[in-house]
Amino acid sequence: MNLRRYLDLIIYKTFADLRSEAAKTYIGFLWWVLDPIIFMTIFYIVFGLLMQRGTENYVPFLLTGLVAWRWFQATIIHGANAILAGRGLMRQVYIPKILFPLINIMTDLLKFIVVLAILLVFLWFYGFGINVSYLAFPLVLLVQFTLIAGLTILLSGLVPFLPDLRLLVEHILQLMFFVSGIFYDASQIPEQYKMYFYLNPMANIVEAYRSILMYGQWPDWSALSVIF
Amino acid sequence: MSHQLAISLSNVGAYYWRQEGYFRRSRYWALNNVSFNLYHSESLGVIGRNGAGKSTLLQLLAGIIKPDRGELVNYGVTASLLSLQLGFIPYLTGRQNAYLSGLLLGLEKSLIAERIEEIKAFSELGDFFEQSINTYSSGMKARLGFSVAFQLDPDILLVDEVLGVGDSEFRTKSADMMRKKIRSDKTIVLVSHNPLMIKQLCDRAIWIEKGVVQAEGSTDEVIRAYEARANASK
Repeated sequence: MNLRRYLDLIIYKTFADLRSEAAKTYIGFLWWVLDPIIFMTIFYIVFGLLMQRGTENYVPFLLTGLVAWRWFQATIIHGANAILAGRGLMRQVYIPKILFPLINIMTDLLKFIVVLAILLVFLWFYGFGINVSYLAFPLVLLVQFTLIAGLTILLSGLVPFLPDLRLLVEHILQLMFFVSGIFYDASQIPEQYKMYFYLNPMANIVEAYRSILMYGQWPDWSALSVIF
Repeated sequence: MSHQLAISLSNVGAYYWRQEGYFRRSRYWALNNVSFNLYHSESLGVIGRNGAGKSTLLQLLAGIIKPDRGELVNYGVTASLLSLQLGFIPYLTGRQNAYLSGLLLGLEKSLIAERIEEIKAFSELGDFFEQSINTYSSGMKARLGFSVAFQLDPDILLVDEVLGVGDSEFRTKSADMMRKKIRSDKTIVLVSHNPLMIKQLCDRAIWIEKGVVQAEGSTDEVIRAYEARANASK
């Protein structure tokens, strides 16, 4: 009975947060889409045009990586702070603390789904059709979701005791962003560092996205199963 | 009036961590040593100055925090704080906030759906109920908060100085509602630093100072002791 109530609460609060976020700006929901596009444009200008480091099909390559990455980054940054931010509520009613990160995970998941849908449509128009390896895509998403949810819940539990951790996390994410092969391809990495590169779960996930969505290949199962 | 125990506290203490420079913190005992019994269908007043530990006591009774020492025994009752405007989000409508706040307070979604019209009527918001609460005056927000919070019906209602919200007409209405609850069989704990309010509403009172019970007994006695101390320290 309680579980049902908490579920209702999570769902209602998720939509309430999304609605209120959209109401804060003039173009509302459009920002969820515009946000990754602007982000991508910046990287395209810097790496694709100015430094000429772009690989073939650089725009879809970059966009795929960024969409996967932004989901990871956004959830962790929002979620890490969730329990701390909910302390006002906690002082007044008894609410299981885990609900706070769960609500954040849900809002970011829904935003990601919208962005992902747009990415897929974009890729189809670009000429990367649906292929048989799409069958593996839900599994990749599930692996990533598990990774994100696990890290977020863990962090949200630690941050109230160690508020400084939140600042550290931002830097770690920054580092991870650069070593996850989002704006470059793993083939550009010197051979002796490749082993370390693939120790990063996000690097594997980004690669799995690309092999499915762009190259029509099955992802690297062993790497994904290790993350899981 | 029955004298069945609802909650009993014996030598209860609760502390917070207080930061003292880098890497040093000390325990601050907001409640030091508190013992009393709360009986079914009584209304107990808790009086004390700011920082005496009154709000901490309510959090203990509501089960939001646990005692760090001593023992708190709950004889199978539900207790909740009367929290107004709990979790309100400025960009949502009155209706949406009523749902959200109700769910946070622990109401079932189906129950809120059943009572939503009642909430709307009691809050006297009319068409504003469907507007974003950004557009509300603070009095209107308070009315909405009160209307939602009063749908909650725990065994023990814990009240932290919330009487008197909105304009005078609404204030009378909400105070009446409050009195009705108090006179009914409901168990109430009312926390205040206003002796008059406690005198009007409670049958029994305790006085807390610096986390310790200073006096316990009939409202008149306790208030007299409290006021004597207040005058003496002037």
